[in-house]
Amino acid sequence: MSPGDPRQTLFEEVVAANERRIKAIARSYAPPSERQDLCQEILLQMWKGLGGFKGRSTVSTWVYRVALNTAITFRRRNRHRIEPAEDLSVQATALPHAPSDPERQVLILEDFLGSLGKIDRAVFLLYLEDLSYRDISEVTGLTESHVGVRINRLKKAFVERYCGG
Amino acid sequence: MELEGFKSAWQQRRMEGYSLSPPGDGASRSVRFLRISAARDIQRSEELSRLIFSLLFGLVAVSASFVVMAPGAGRVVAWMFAAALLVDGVAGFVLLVRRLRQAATDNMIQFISREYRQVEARLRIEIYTQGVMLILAAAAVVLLVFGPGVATGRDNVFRMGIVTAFLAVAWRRGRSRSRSREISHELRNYLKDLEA
Repeated sequence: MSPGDPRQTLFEEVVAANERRIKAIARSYAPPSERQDLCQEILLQMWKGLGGFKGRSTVSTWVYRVALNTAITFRRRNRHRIEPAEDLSVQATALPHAPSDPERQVLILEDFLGSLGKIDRAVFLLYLEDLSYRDISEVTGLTESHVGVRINRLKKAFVERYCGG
Repeated sequence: MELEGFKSAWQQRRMEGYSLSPPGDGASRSVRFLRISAARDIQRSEELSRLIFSLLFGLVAVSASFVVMAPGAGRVVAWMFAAALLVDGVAGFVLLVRRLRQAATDNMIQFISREYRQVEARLRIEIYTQGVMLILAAAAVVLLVFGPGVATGRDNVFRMGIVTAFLAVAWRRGRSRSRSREISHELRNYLKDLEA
């Protein structure tokens, strides 16, 4: 394969444009010691699947789809050697008022995500990443109304738990 | 709503500093790196080691049956053992290759359903292999006790060895099956969660 190969160039562009998204998923699904391994696995799956990308969805939706599927499988395959993620140990129980410090807010969100099942975690993560219900539906395969119901339930659970109801 | 503030903090948060591209000076290097990773994945897979083990062990069983054993039932049992191992090894490897060739580009429901079907297929193969091994072990014991012809001491030792190997492989398949069952259960729970 030559460096000027169009598939290779496209791959590099897709990775560069979606690096943050890939890292966000790795951060939510793997402990710090395994994040780079998970990122590599996601890149490998993207490389394998790039030839089949028909442009029916946006590139970012396609990346979320590949990354989340890989993260769920990766986690399952490595479950017996995963240690708890250190930076998810915020212990943020119900707070009387929502904290305004952005770093603490992120830690609280990570704590909440860590407490969810893998499917709810994926849905809430996509909501936090500001995907529309339609895009979340494309990533997960759930109907848009189902996505809406889930997100409302998760938002309510979050507010009750961290924002004092 | 207060959650909007959290969402905004989430989108503006700083990410880890590591790069997703391997150290190097170009795109071709990163693609080469991915290909090496893929090859290493296959090398590390249980299915490949099972295939190699099956071929080698089967070859040893057949060769030893010619060298050590007198013609007769004992030899047939050794060949049956080799054939069962080979079928098991090849079937496992075919499942692995099929899995590796499919990229994770489907939506989550389709992807998990596909993974679930593959684990179920693996489970069926493991149940089949374990059953065949146990039946062959029983047949080997029967042949050992009631088989025609006078077996030499060496012949008997080899027959016992084959029976032990059958049981060892059946036990291994039992362990592997419980792991597959665990994965299958987990995937089924994901599907139930998605459909809830």
